[in-house]
Amino acid sequence: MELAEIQQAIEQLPKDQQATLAAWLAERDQAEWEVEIEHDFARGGAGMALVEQMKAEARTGGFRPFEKGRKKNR
Amino acid sequence: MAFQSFASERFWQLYRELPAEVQRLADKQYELFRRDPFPPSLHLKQVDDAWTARIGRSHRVIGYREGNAFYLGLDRLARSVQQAAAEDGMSRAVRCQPTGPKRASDLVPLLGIPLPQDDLDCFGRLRSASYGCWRPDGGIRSAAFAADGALPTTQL
Repeated sequence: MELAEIQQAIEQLPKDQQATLAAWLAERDQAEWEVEIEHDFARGGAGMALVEQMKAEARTGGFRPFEKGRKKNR
Repeated sequence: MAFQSFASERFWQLYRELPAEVQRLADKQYELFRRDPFPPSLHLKQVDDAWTARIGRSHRVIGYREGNAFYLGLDRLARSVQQAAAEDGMSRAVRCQPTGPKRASDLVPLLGIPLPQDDLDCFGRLRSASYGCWRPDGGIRSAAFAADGALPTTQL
């Protein structure tokens, strides 16, 4: 099925079904992101550097209790 | 188990840059987390050493845990870049990694996508592999991209 046909079919759906479809697409996008996260943060993944960076920052006192930061940043 | 949360100045810098409605969502998610770290709507999950939780559709908290302490960072989905790539008929995924400062302008030839300035501004925190700290005038930590979403990525 061509994209234009799918779009046309969607236009003909009742609004509530369009909303269901939109929610499904959004959740699908989130799930895709979850897969990226799993890939990035698995051992040896690109994201590990971030975790290591955060740990190094924590060791040198760069992290403070969340609540204190929250009060300051409100 | 009672958890304690910690955040760095970088976290708060990113937080301050969030749109007001995302800040409100982040606050709401934190309150949820404070009361009970594992409600379904938070989608808190562990991937190896990292922990992630959702803040709406476009942002995530990324952190790690030591005992009952969570150390928190922020991540952002810069959707506009993905869309720009799609609209240009290109299927390039853009990924960033946190090493070595570079200037934003260095990215443009690598991307091969004529991005408007707004997109450049938000490029620095793309999906899960890119982290903070980019302004066109202030440099970025590093970046990499993969054609057709395939690895290996190329680092700047």
